[in-house]
Amino acid sequence: MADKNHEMWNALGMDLETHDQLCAVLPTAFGDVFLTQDNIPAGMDYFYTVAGDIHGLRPAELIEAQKAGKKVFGTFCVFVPDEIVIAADGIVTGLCGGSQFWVPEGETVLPINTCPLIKASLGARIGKTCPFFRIADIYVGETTCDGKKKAYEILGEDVPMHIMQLPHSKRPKDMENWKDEIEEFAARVEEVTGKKITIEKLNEAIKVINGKRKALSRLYDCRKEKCVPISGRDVLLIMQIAFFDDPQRLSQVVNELCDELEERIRNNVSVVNEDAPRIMLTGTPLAVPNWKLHNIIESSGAIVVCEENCTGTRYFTHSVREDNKTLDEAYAALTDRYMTNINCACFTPNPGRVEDIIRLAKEYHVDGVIDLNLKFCSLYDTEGYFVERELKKAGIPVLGLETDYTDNDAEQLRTRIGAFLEMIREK
Amino acid sequence: MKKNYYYILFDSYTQVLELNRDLRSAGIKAVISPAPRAASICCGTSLRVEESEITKVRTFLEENQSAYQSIYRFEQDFDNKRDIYC
Repeated sequence: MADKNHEMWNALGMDLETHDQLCAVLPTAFGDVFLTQDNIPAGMDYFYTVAGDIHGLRPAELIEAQKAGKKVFGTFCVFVPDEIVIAADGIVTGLCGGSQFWVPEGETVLPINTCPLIKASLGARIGKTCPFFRIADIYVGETTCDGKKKAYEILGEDVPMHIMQLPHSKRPKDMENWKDEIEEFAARVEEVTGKKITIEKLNEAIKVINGKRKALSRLYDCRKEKCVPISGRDVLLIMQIAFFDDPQRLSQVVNELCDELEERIRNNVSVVNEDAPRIMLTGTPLAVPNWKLHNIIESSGAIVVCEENCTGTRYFTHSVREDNKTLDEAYAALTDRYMTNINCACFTPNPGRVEDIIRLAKEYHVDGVIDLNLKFCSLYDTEGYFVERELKKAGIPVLGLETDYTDNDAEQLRTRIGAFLEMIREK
Repeated sequence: MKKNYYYILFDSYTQVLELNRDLRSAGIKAVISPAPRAASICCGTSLRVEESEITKVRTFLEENQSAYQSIYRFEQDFDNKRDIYC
């Protein structure tokens, strides 16, 4: 496996020496976060295998697919409708960066006071230290936040890009605008892939992605009970892999894992004691390999049972209407699912997010919510005012935290989280 | 505290999954892990085995003619409160 990876990375024009430094730290970090757990479900084997060869396995598949004539679309946001790409026989891979390793390179072109996710994403491309960023034929950006909007202008000088103009409200005219954006995206996808999107292929693609959503929803359902059969760390890893793995294979392995987890629930096999505080995370996404917060929370004696973020419930919430009769009907169905149900802080106003958080806090029987924001993300940080106010009104303990990808603040985070958990235990 | 860990390397990821499944059925403990940098030119997935299980694993590999590439031993410690991430 190892020799083939080196050849592949070399052929992709990667900076092998620098990339090697990331490879060097992954095994220990992975071992600390995941392999110190007891009672890991057997169904995690597949996901640990993927994580263990994260820059080898899937990139090799993507390259083989490209040799067979397929096009790879790199994306950065859950608003981009994967269904459109799949309907044109394309492949989607998520590209968000979750490692401090890539941030310094990103800071050579971006202001320091940009969120680390954006800096890491640009750094991974500019530094040539991530095979996914080298492989994608075209990147699909979206105008969610100011940081991304301007960063894509810089990225667009180095790689072909298509930008989807996401409206920042959900009025009827905004829904119409997003439907137009989806149609324009479809035209671009057809141009890049050379394949026509038919209603039959689009309906098929909708079913594939809905299948993935249902599998992930089933996984999350397994975390709602007193008996928690899987850790938050493991679910986070599954969600991160879901962004770049083959959707049908992902659905299959997640459903197999859920069979095991549901059996664990029936047999009352939990990975934590019943008195472990149940925590929900809300806020900014946790791109791979950002495992810091989950690890700190769970190694402090709590269990993360839900994530209301783009690497959590926002990724799979609600399905797209299936069996559409025309392309126009299908584009309307896509618009409806994506715009109505994903309550990102880029929207104003955004009352739906607070409603989601309170609803999920009750569904998952949480003892507390951690509102976690990446440094310099003014959207989520500002919206934290409403989130925290409404949670307090609802009598749900909440802790607001800001962090980045560095290790420097881990001790402070442990202290604050420790105090929060103590407060919850004493209630 | 550092302990000895043994990493079994493979030629393909399907070999990792198969052997882990077979060892689990035989009641032998192993976990899937990224291979340490020193054991491998680049990243790769391996099976990590603790000292207490390695004799049973070697016997199993021989008796079943299991497919694998090599085995490396490293002295390491793992700590979920080390807080050094990647």
